[in-house]
Amino acid sequence: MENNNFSVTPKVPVIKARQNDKIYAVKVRTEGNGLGVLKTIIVLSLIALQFLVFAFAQMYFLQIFKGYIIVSFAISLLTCIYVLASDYHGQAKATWVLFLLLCSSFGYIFYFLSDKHILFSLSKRKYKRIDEETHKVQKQNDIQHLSKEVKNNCDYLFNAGGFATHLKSKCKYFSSGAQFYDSVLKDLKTAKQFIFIEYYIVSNGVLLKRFLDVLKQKVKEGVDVRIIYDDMGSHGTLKSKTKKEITKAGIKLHGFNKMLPIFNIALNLRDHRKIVVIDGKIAYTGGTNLADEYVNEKLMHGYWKDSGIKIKGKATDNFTIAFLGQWRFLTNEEINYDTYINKAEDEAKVDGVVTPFVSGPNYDFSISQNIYANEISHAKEKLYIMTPYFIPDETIKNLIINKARAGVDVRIILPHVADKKFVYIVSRNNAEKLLEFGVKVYTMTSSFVHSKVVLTENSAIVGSINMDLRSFYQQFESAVFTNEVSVLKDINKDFEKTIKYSKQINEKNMRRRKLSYRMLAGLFNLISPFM
Amino acid sequence: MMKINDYNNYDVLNLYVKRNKLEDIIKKYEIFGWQLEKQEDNKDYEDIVEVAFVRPHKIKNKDDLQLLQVYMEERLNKVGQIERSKNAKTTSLALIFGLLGMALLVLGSLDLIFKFFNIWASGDIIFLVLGLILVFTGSFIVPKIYKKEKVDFDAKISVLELEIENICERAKFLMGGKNGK
Repeated sequence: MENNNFSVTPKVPVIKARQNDKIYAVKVRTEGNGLGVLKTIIVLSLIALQFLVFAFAQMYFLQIFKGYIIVSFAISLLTCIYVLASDYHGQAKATWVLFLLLCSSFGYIFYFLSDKHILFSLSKRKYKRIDEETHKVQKQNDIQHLSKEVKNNCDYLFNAGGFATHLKSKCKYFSSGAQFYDSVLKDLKTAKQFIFIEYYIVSNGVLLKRFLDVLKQKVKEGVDVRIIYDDMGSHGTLKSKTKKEITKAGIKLHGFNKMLPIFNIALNLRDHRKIVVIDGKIAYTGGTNLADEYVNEKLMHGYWKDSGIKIKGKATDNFTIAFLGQWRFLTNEEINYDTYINKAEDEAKVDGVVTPFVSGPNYDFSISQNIYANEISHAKEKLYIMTPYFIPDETIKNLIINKARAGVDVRIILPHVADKKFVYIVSRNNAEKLLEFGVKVYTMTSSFVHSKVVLTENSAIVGSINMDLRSFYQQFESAVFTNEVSVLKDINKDFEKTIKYSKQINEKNMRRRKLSYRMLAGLFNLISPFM
Repeated sequence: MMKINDYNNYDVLNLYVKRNKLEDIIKKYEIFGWQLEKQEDNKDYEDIVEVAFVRPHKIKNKDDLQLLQVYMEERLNKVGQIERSKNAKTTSLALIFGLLGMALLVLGSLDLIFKFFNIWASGDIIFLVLGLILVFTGSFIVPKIYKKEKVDFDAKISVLELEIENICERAKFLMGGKNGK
C-alpha cells in the first residue's frame, strides 16, 4: 500500500507511537511488533559484526602475509571448481561462481558457511536414518489402473520419498483461509487421540486464541497435542509468554532450527510446512499459516487469497509419518510409528487418488521441484498456476514455455500487492517474460495471492510449495497430489473466480517498464537463488 | 460475554475514522454485516474517532464480502487523499506568483526611493513591472487552474463514489439484502 492519506484505516492496536502514521499516512498494514523488530535488529547486527570480524581478519592477513591475495584467489578458483562440480542447480552455481570471482579474497568463506554439504551434513545423516525408518512404514497400493500421467507422478512420489498413493481417501479443497480454518477448528474438536500441528508461522492473534481454546480442552481430555513451529517464521510473532502458556497447558511445543545470529546455511533451511493431523484420520495442508492475516482478520497486503486442502482417510498417514519424522529429528524421541498410523477407515464414494507428500533439503534431490516439473510436463490441455512468488529454475521455465508453445492453455495468477517488493519485482519480471510465448499472466487486484496450486486436466498439487528456488531447494514443504474429480472441479472454479477478480498483464505493460526497473529486476534475478 | 471479546463467534474490526465521515462510513460497513460496538474519540487527534465493529464469525459469502470491503476501503481512502490534495497545486502556484511578485514590487519600490541599485539605471522600473506582471498573471492563471483542477478532482471523486456505490450494492446482494435472495 502507498503512503497516501486515508480517511479510514484499520486500527493498529500494537504500537502507540505508530498510530499517528496510520491515521493520516495510510498504511493498511496492521502488523508491528516492537520485540520482533528488536530481535531482528539484534540478529542482523550480530551477523554484521561477524562480517566485520571477517573483514578485519582479511586486512590483518594482508598486512602480515602479502601473498594472501594470491592464496585467496587460488582458494576461490578451487571453490569455483567445487561449486561447478556440486549438485546445485545451474542458477545457484552461476551466482556463486560470479560472487567467488568478484570477491576472491573472502567469498569462499561465505560459500563454505552456506554450503549445505558441509554444515548440514550431520543433520542430513540424522534425517537419512529417520527417512529409512519412515520409508519402511509406508507400502504402495496397487495403482496399475491409473492413467499413465497420474501413475507416473504417484510412482515418482513413492520411489523418491516413500509417499504411498491412497485409493480410498477423500479430499476437500478450500479456496480461502477463512473456510479452511473453520473446517480445521471444527475437526480439532473431534480429536480423541492425537493432534499434530506443524507450521512455518505461528502468530499471536485471534486465530491462535481459537486454536488454543480447543487444544487446551483436548489436552484436558487426554489428547496428545504436539506443535512444531519454525523459529525464523514465527520470530517476533509468537511471543515467549504465549509459548509458556502453551507448554504450561500440557501442549508439547518445539521450535524448528532456532535462529542464531551467525551467518550459515541454517539461516536458510526453514520448515515451511503447514500440516495439521487429527487422530490419523483427518489431515490438512495448504498455503495458510497460523496467523490472523491468513483469514483476513488482520489486513496486511489488501485481501489475502489463500487455499488449502483436507484429507480424510488413510492418506492422512503420509502426513502423520512426516510429522513424526520431523518430531523425532527435533527431540530424538524413539517413535513407534505403528501406534499412529492405520487409524482411518476407507472412504466410500471416492473419485480419485490422493498422495500427500513432503519435501526438503534432507532428500538428495528436490521432490517439490521434480513433482512440479512432472505435473507441468503432463499437461496437454491446460496448466493453471497460482503462486505468490514466481522464481522458477530453468527446467520449470522451459517446460512452461514449451507447453504454451504447444498450445496448452497456460495461466499464471500472481498477487497484485507485494509482500516483499524485491521478490515481487523478480516474480513479475519472470512472469512477464513468458507473455511472448503465449502464457497468460494475471494479478489479483488489491490482493496478495498466497495460494500454491498447480492444476492440469489430469491432476492437481495443493500445498505450501511456492514456485521459487527457496521452496524447491532450501525449505521443508508439504503438499497433496490428487486427481480427485470433485477436487479438480473445485480448484478449476477457484481459478475461474480468481481470474474474474484479476487483471491480465499484457506485453504493453511490459514495454512500459522503465530501464531502471528492468535493470533492478535483472540484478535481483541474479541473487534470486538466495531470496 | 461482550460480542467484542467473544472471538469464537464474532469477528472484530477496529478503525480510525475521520470525524466528518463517521456517519457515512458506519452506514457503509453496516452493509457488509458489521455492527457498531464501540465508538470513542481519539486521545491525540480531535478529528479522528476510533470505532469497533463486530460481525458474526460465520456469515454467507464472507470471502467475497471481505474482498469487496478491501476494494471499498481503497476507494474511500483514495477519495480522502484527493480531497486533501485538491488545492495543493493551486495553493503552491498562488504562493509562488504572489510571493515572487510582491518581493519584486517591494524591491522595485525600495530601489525607486533609495536608489541602492546603481548598476542599472532603470532597474527599479523593471522590478516593478516584473512584479506587477507576476501578480496579475498569477491572479489570472491561478483561479483558472483551480477551476480546471476542481472539475478534474470532482470527476475523479464522482467516479470513485460511483464505484463505492456499486461495491456496496454488490455487498448488499451478497448479504442477501435489497437485491439479494
